[in-house]
Amino acid sequence: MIEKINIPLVYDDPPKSNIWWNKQNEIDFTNFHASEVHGVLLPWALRIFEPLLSIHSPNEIKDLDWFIYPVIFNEPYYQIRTLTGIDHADFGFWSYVSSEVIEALKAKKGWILIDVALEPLSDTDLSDLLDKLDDCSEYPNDRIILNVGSLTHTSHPQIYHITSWLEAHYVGVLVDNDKEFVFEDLPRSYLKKVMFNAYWQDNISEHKRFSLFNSRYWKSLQLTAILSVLDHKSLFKYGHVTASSLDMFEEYFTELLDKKPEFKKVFKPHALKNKNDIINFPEQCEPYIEKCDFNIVAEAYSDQNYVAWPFLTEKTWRCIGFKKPFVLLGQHGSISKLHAFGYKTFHPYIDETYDNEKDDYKRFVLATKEIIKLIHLSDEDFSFYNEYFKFITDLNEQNFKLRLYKSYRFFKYLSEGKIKTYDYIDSFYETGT
Amino acid sequence: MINLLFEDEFFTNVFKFNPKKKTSNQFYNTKLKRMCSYELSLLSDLNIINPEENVDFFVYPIFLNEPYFHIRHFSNPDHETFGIMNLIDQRVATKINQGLGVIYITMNYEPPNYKELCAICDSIKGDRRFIFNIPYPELTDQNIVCLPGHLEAVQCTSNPSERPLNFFDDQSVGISEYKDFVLLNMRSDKHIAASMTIYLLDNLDLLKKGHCSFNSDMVEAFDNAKNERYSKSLFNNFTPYIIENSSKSIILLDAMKNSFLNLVVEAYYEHLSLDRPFITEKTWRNVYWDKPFILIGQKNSLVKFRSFGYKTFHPYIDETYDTMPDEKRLLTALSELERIVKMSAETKLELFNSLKPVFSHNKDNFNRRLQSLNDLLENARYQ
Repeated sequence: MIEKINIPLVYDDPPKSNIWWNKQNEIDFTNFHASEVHGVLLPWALRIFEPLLSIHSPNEIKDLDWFIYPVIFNEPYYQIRTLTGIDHADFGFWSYVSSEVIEALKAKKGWILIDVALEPLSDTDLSDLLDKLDDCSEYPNDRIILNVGSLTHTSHPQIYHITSWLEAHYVGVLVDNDKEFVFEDLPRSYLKKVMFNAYWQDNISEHKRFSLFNSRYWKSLQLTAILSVLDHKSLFKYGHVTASSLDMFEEYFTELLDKKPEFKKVFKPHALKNKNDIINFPEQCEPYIEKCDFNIVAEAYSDQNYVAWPFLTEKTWRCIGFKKPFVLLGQHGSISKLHAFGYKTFHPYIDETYDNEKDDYKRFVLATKEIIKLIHLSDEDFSFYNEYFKFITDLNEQNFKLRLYKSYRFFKYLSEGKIKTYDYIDSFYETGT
Repeated sequence: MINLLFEDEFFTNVFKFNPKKKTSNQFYNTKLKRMCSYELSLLSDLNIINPEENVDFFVYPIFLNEPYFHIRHFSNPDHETFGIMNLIDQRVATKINQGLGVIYITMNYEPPNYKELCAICDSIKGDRRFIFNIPYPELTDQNIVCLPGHLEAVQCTSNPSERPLNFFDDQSVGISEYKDFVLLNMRSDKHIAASMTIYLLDNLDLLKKGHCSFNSDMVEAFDNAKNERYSKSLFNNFTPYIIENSSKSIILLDAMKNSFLNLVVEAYYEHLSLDRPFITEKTWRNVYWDKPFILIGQKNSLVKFRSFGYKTFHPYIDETYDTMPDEKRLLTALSELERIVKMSAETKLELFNSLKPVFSHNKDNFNRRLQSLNDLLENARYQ
């Protein structure tokens, strides 16, 4: 058991969030950042350790051994310019931070932790930002630490990839409510967010072979094309499938196909003939995941056009949390990214070579082949597969705990005034050194 | 009547200047007694209101003086957290969504990223909630206009002594001697052409012919300018040296009164740092002062200036330099300066008289542009 630390957090004007405060950031306890215990909005990278946290104002810094100045950075596309223009007198990041905090950071007493957890920060923007952080002549830019999804800069001492919102919330359900976890006397019940319990639907009686939550299928051609394939083969009835605005299906399909000639050679736009087998979008997807054999993950980003690195959302993380095997329709390298975080997946029982395929169409074809294979497996064969799948998902439960330990190790280093690269922290438990 | 709606009694709407830093006094408008973009105060029949007041129709001005930081809030205006419609007072937003008001966004103070602006213009085209005032005439549409913004309005209409802030008040020097040209180049370190202009004028022995302000340490200025992005083929073999000067800036009003021509060093020279010409106060001020000018700026800067309806001085001043590549433009422009400086007093007077129709046209052009803005905002409810 590791020695417990206290993590003092400094807010310039609590309960307001640091830096970005607007109407949508008000303390509303339906806001997933809101901590009822501390009465502030917390980045999830820190909220995981809620019992260790305490909230302070800048004038209390003198009484603290160290501190973190937390910043929630959920919409990087809108927020990044405040950081890349960091020293601008009116609109730069430092113009929003109190002088007490800046002075304490210059004295190496604390850290700014910017948690980029909900939406992807582009590598171009991140590189621009790292260039800026190199210059500490005017402001303590070396005390800024970012928790991001891109693995492009794992060896940069200010870039980390610790557990935060999507992973913590959706994989966090692996942690039993009654179990004590990570540290003695540290209850982890808040990881299993109340919403999962309060709205849990117990009335889903029918167990099906697969689930596919594809409400906004029109966002990408892969997500539209999989509906076309399943419809063509009359397979919706074997799964819990959601998709909205089905009357528009043909129109959306036409628009998307016009942009991707390699798909257009094979697919022709059509209306769905089996749309009655598709269910309305439920309040909670998770009970349906429990009532199926495997999940078809319709990821939010399906190619590298918008974000150049694989960005995993709750659509993937909830499969880990609910211990379900899955086939992922999304960006290439998504499965590899899970592996980089220590999670295991299902090759060779599910052929995951699709993940290495950079061509969107070829990747879709390979993944779809596996989807069809799994749907057509007999119950007997699937239960044989399930023994292996269970072995994998059990390993993932252990890995999530390890990820939490690594996050804790990261904060412990900060408390000691040390800065270690993510690579170092990531390998700590593997090497034992 | 134009009802201008402000959420705050002092600050601009939405993107407020940082009151701790006190750097933004230049945006304080003495007529409207608040921070705002200057062109608003030149409009006629204004009525300032707050969100609680009910009127038939209002204009909600947003001054995007730093588009780099804020332009993305317009790319998806209804984004639930960071879209512009969710950053403004919700009473105001509701009325705008009901067609009872319009958001007027002025972004001519600093150059917006062209690619981002194009995408935004594409998406808000025809959206009656917005009127964009941008510095790129080629992107105009029904609700996207290219009309006077803060810099053009301030510089084309007012004497500097009437403006709210002069950064160099405490160290400026007045002048009374009449000289051939004025060169306001205190930031000679801003780009390599700004530094080289001083050295080339020194080589041509022209510095004494003008009221010239420039950095006190030109060696440092040159080195700093070299650190900015620029084509390495430009002046890379040049070794800077110390040039004596007063190290004081000059009072603009005196310098403009007491000089024949303005040698304008614009904020940008190459297209590496900004991919198309952007006109700043350095050029706009010549309209108020009836001053002929030679422009050390990006290629096609004069083309850009003319695209706003203004005229320049060709053939009286040879402006072929404007379309020349970076390597030639500066040298050619300074050769033209040298030619004019060498003219006799009589020839200069003749030249000045020939340019009077241009000065007159430019003043009229500004007034026409301002009237267009006035008409647009006054009639926005009917668009």
